[in-house]
Amino acid sequence: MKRIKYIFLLLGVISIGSAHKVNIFAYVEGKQIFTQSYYSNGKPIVSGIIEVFNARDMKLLDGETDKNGEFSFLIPEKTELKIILNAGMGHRAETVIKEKDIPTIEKPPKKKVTSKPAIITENPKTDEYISKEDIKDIVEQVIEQKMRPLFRILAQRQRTISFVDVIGGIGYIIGIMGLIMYLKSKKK
Amino acid sequence: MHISEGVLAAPVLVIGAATAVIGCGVGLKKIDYDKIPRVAVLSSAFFVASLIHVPLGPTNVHLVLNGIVGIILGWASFPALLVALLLQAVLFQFGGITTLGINTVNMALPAVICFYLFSALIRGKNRILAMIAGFAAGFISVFISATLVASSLVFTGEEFMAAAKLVVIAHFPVMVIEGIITASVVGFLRKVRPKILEGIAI
Repeated sequence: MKRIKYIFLLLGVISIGSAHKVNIFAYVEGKQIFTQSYYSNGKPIVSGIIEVFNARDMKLLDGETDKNGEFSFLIPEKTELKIILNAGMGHRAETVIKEKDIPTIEKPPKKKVTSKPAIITENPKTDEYISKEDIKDIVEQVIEQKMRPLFRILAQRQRTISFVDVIGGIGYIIGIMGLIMYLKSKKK
Repeated sequence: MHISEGVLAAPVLVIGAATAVIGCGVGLKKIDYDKIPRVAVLSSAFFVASLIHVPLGPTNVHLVLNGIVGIILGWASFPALLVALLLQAVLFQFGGITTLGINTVNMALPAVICFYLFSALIRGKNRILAMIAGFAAGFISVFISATLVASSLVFTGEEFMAAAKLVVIAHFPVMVIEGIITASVVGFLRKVRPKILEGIAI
């Protein structure tokens, strides 16, 4: 049950910003925020400029997307983060990560635990008992890793333009045409 | 080609919106009753064209088709493209509502310019010359649009030459493809329905 709750919590963190041809997709993973930027047909945006602002519109950091359109950074502070992507030629997208979705980082930096839970058995100092916190960290990391493909699928879902929208748009144009014709015919 | 929400400064948006309103006013006046469907068809064509991506060049670009719209509709390009861009903004999140005015101007103004430059040749007697003019209309309309997009971005701090180079180079494949499309449409329409090429705004 707890795991399901956790998954929903993670889903809540996902926010999507979109603009013409450029999208940015950001999610929290541990102490880091991962972003993926891509054009509306799914091509990653290479060397797009990412800027991160806090709630008071102060710039916290910036960077460039890599060849996979990805950019990640350590959470600079516990605040609402506004992530802005500028892909040039007037293409811009932004996404916001809410403050409540950002985990509090109060612990001092500790040893990096690899995703394999096997680390527990590998630990030679078996006399050290595993604290609740350690278990929590390990579980979080494993879940995060398992969630990654899901994030990618969600990101991909956002990329496609639905056929219904295209037909709907043409329908609107025909509707507007009808309206204008009706108004003009009344004048006649 | 569509400028997103939040990129441009307010004065650019206001000037864009005002110009778009004037253009639409002129355009709507020029549309006769029986030419309304033609405007709607080209508006639909433009609406769908932006979904056709051209997988060439350094970035991701799509067809614009404002050349064809321009040579057939003239001033009526303004209302036609405004409606198409509004729907693209609402349904696909291409561009945005606040940038609707400037985006309309960036696409429709080149269409009108191409109408005045090439419609005489396109309607002329010589078929080859008409098709060459068609190619030029398709090519140049995208070129002017790219330049206008770059100049809109200048006011946001991007350097004009750098921005212009980027936009123009990125759209070069589109210019060529649109030139070919426009030329073949002109050739086809001259054969099948030359009346359409008479234009709306003269």
